[in-house]
Amino acid sequence: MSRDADAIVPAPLPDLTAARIVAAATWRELLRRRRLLSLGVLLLLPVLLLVAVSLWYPGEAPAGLLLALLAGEIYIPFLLPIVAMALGAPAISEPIAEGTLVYFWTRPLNRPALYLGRILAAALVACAMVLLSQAAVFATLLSADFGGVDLALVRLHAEMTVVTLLGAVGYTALFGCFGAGFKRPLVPAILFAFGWEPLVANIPQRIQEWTLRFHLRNLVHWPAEQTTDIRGFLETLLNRALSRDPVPVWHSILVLVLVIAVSTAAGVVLLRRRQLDRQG
Amino acid sequence: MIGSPPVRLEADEVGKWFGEVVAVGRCSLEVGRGVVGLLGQNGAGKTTLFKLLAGLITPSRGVVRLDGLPLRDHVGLYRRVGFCPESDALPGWLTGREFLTMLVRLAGVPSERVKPRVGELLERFALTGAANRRLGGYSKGMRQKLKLAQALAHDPDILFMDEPLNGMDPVSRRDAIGAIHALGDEGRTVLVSSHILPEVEEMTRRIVLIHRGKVLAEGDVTEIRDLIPEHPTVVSLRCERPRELASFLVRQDHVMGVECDGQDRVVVRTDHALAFYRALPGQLLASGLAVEEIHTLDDNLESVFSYLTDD
Repeated sequence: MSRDADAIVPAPLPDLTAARIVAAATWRELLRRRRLLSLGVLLLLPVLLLVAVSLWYPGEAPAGLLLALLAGEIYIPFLLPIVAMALGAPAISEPIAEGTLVYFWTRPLNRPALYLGRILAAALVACAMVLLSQAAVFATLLSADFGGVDLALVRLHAEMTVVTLLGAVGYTALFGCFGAGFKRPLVPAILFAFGWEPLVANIPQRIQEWTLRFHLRNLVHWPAEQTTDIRGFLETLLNRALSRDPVPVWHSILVLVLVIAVSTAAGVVLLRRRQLDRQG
Repeated sequence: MIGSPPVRLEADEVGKWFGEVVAVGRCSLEVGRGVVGLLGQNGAGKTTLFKLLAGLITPSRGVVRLDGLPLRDHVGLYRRVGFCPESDALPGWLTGREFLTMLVRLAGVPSERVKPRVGELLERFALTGAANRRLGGYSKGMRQKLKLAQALAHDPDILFMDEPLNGMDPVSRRDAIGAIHALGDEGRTVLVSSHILPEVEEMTRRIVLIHRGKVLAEGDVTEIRDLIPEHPTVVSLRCERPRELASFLVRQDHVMGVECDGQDRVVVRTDHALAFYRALPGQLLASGLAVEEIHTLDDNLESVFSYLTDD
């Protein structure tokens, strides 16, 4: 068993295998966290809102407009960042703070595989939760009196699915990176999601492009119609949300993919440099 | 060097400082086969050195190598390393079986061997009954056993155990000490860190003594004891003819002083306990004196520790 320095060095576990094992365990762990219940309740709010609209204004609010409003004013600016914050930020920071990272650290796996496995699981759970909420919203729109289904509504729902996938993964990757770099990642995550994003996204011209929110909204095809009072009110809200110059869709997708790639790479570097100075 | 190959863990002038605070300063150390105790008071730098040796933190200077390779740069070497942390933290939302399964798989154990191996470990550490319970509900003793189980999951050549007996009940302690002895006897390298002297003494007599961030002494407790000339070793001998024994012993080499306690005991002070012990049987045979009991009063870890550290 003795060996010299020039002997064969034991190989680490293949990165994909290691990431898959870590992701599976993290997925299982996340699904049992209590915070998932709170997130579930939060994600039911759009459904409750629709139910309330259908009760108070039966037949007045068109489905497409409501769905667009929910996407632009609730899912994109609030629900996606909150879900990603609750799952992405602790994905790396929690095992460091709790002292359980040492169990991964002392296994033959490369740090990127560990990072990717944890972030992947967090992003998957985030996507699954928001998509379930959107499916419930869509089902409510179909079942209640919102003017029936048309192709535009299906298209909008499909766009929302893409936005959710990119948004959940994007925010999770970004907040995961904060988790690798900061001891309390929720602070910069909150500042980013509810400070930087709303502030910069409302600055006219191209500065607003420096937000994820702008590019996520840019991916949705917004309906523009109004006939009734409630519709007019919703229209006003929607117009306010959309008062910006659009950029090509590919441009937004590229930006979001870049954010995911750069955040992940930065997170890996930060985790590699991390030292387990805390006991355990 | 402490112990002998096959696994060779070396720290070459390793130092670690955090800002102005020097946690470990220029430690050089080699650890081979067998059980070795890393001993030091709280704040002595023991935990930092332990983490440096296990590759969990980067040294500010020097390098740690496992079989000639920097451990931190070759994560594949962790296939041969088992680590039992001091902290009780476990991912509370996983069950014991899920936790072990994940770590056994991450250690590179072939997939067909994972389930039986997990079963063996649960059985060995008497955790089968609690295997499907979440770790959040485990007692301190159960956590300790699970930590040991995961460290042994992949049959490593070298084991780092940080305060491994913390929180264990007497039966589990006895079993764990037995397991540590067995691992050492199997030819593995077991590095045990502790600040509890009797605990280390139960596990090994080979120690590395850390004090104020430096390796103060390393080797067998008795050997180290002999290196402290200002504190001669005190040996007590029980004999039916203590006065004759005393007058005989006072003429022997390495004996610095002899006292009778007035009953049947003779207390000898020697400046070289090993040489004294080696020569003693022959000398006693030659003298015709029968000694019923020999007991060293201060070659235990506690004495060595206090003499070396002046604490």
